[in-house]
Amino acid sequence: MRIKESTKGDVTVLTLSGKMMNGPESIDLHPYVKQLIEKGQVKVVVDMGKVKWFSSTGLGALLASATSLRNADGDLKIARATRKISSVFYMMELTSVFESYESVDEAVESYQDSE
Amino acid sequence: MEHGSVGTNEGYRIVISGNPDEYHKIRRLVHFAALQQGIEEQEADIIERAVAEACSNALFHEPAEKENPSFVLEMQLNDASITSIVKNRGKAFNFDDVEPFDIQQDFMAYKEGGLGIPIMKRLMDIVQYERHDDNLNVVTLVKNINPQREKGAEDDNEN
Repeated sequence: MRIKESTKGDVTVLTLSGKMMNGPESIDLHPYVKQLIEKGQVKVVVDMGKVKWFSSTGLGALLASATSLRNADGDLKIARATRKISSVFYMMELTSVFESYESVDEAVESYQDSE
Repeated sequence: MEHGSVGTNEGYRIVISGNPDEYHKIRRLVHFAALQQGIEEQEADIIERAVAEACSNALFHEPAEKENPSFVLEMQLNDASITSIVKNRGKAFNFDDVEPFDIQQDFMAYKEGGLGIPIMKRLMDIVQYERHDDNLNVVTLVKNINPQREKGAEDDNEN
């Protein structure tokens, strides 16, 4: 899995691509997010439009990242979740945990709306 | 891959190597089989997810020193349900003691790991684990086909 970082104002956008599966590659996300928190970057949007598949390990990395960000008074929002990802979010009641948006811009704007 | 009778039902049997890059074959097969049974896309996604987790879990419990890890997926299809059975030889699973993951209660305390089995249990109607002789793990996942769909067909027939 690859992580590409960009910023839009004070929001960090992490564009993930590939497969978030078991193995070391899928646990890169949480350590990456912790580094962002250390730098004071606590508003994060995860762009999942290019994620082909994610396992429970990948899901765990998302949850752990969200937990860490919220404990730092920030947040993690999802953008461009595919149908398969949205299905699992819905079944696991994760829609109550993750705000999900159809585009990165909408997810970024939601941070301004909530201020 | 074999297609034909699996037990007393129509089904598929596939032997998968431990290479995660081959998992897409499993997912495609499961998704295809579910759609063939008339299951809708979203529910087919769910079954695909649960079976993929079972396969990942099986591989995770393979001995590290095993040269060619592999496992078997059998799918049994009938009008009432889709049954997926994952078999592998390896370490035993701590299956029944895994607590359900309550997203509302457990979210802010969540560290990382341990979601595979709760996901399977949440997504499927029946999940069973058996440990057999010769280190054989057998995980059975059953998804009942939506009874509303059959009820709808019955109502149409009555009208």
